[in-house]
Amino acid sequence: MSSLLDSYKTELRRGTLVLAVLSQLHTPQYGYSLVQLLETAGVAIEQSTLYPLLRRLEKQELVTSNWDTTESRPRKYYVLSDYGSEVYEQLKEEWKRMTLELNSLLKGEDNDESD
Amino acid sequence: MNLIDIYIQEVTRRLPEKSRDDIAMELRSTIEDMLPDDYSEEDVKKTLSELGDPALLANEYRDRPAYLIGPLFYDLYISVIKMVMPIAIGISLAIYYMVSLSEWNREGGIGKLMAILFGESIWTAMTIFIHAIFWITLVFFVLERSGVSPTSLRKTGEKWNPEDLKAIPFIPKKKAIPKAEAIASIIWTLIWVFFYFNADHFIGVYEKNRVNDLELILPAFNQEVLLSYWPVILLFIITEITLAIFKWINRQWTYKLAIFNGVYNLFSIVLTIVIITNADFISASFIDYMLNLFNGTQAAADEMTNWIIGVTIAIFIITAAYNVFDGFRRAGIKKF
Repeated sequence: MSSLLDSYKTELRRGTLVLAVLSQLHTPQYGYSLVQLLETAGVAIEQSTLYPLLRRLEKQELVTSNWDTTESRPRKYYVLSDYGSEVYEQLKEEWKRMTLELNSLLKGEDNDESD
Repeated sequence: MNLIDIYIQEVTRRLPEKSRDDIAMELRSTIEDMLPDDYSEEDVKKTLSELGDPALLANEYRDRPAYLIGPLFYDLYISVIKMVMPIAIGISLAIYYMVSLSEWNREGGIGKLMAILFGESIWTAMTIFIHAIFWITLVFFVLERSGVSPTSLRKTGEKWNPEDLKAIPFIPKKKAIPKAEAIASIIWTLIWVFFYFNADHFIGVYEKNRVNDLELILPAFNQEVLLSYWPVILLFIITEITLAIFKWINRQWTYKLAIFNGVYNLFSIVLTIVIITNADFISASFIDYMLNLFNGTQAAADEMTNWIIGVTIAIFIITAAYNVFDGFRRAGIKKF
C-alpha cells in the first residue's frame, strides 16, 4: 500500500518537475543555487535528478548554459532560452487549466461526501 | 585518496567520453557548493550520500535507453518471434531429418537412429531457437535505436484505421489450425517414409548380440513388396505434404480443405489395404519364426495374421472417418 502510494506520489511530482525548474530560470542559476531556490519554495527535489535534468533541458534547447570562471570556483550557469520561455509559458497555462479542472473534480467529490 | 575524486570518477567512467570532462567539472563545483567552508571527511560523506549511488546518477545523465526492447516495440517484437519461430524450427528440423537420414549409413544401429530422431533433433531445435531469438532481438535493437517509428512498420500506413481490419481473416477458435499441426504432419511424413523404405533394417525381431546390443535378426515385412509400390507411395507423400502446406497457409478449416482432407484419408485407407493384404507383405521367415514361437499350426498362424490385418484396417478406417468428419464439422462452424 505505502510503496504503491509512494510510486504514485513520485509520478505526480515528476510531471511538475520541469515546470518548477523552468520557472526559476528567468535569471541565470547554477546547480546548487537552483536547489536552494526550490527548497526555499518547499519543492523537494533529488539532487541526483536535478543536475542531469538541467543537462537534458540544455540538449533540448530550452535553456542555455555558460561557465563563469571569474569567481574562486567555476560555476555553470543555466538560463531560459527564447524557445524555453515560450515552452514555459505554455506549460504554465496548461498547469493552470489542469489544476482548475482537477480542483473542480475534487471539490465535487468533497461535496458528495458532506451530503 | 580524495573521496570526491573517486566519486566523480565513478560517475563519469559510465558516461560517453565527450561529456565526461564537463560533467566532472560541474559535479565538482556542485559538491564544493554543498560543502561547508572548512569541511571534514564526515561532511564529504554526508554530501556524497545526498547525491546517492554514482551508478544511478550516471544513469540519470545518460540519455540513451537502459533497455533492450522498449515498450513501443515490445508487442511487435513478441509477435515477430511467435511468427518466425515455428517456421524457423519447422524448416530446420525438416532439413536436418532429410540430411541426417539420407547420410545415415546404418552404422550404430537403432540406438544411433533414435539419437538422430529425438536427442539430436531437440538440440538442433534449441540451437535454431537461440539463433532466431538473437537475430530478431538484434534487428529490433537496431531498429529502435535508429529512431524508426513502430507505426511506420504497419503495412497500411502511419495510423491505425478500422479499414485495416478488412485485410485480416476472421478465424474462430474452433476452426483454427495451429501451425504446429502442419509442422508435425511434415515431420511425421519424413519419419514414416524413412521407416517404410528401410523397414527391412528396423521392423522385425530383435535379439541381443554378443556386445549386448539389439540387433535385427529377421525383418517382419518383405522389403521388395514395399518397394514395388514406390510410384503410389510417392504420389501419397506429395498429397500428404500438399495437405500440410494447405493447412499452414489456410490457417482454418474450410470446405475446400475438408474435401482435400477427405480425398487424402480415402487415399491413405486404400493404399494401406492394398499393401497389407498383399499375400507377400509379411516375410516368410517372420511367419516361420512366429510359428516356432507359438508352436502353432499353419492354419492357426493364418487365422492370427488375418485377424491382425482385419483389426489394423478397422482402426485405420475409424480414425480416417473421424478425421474426415471432424474436418467437415469444423469447416461448418460459423462463430467462436
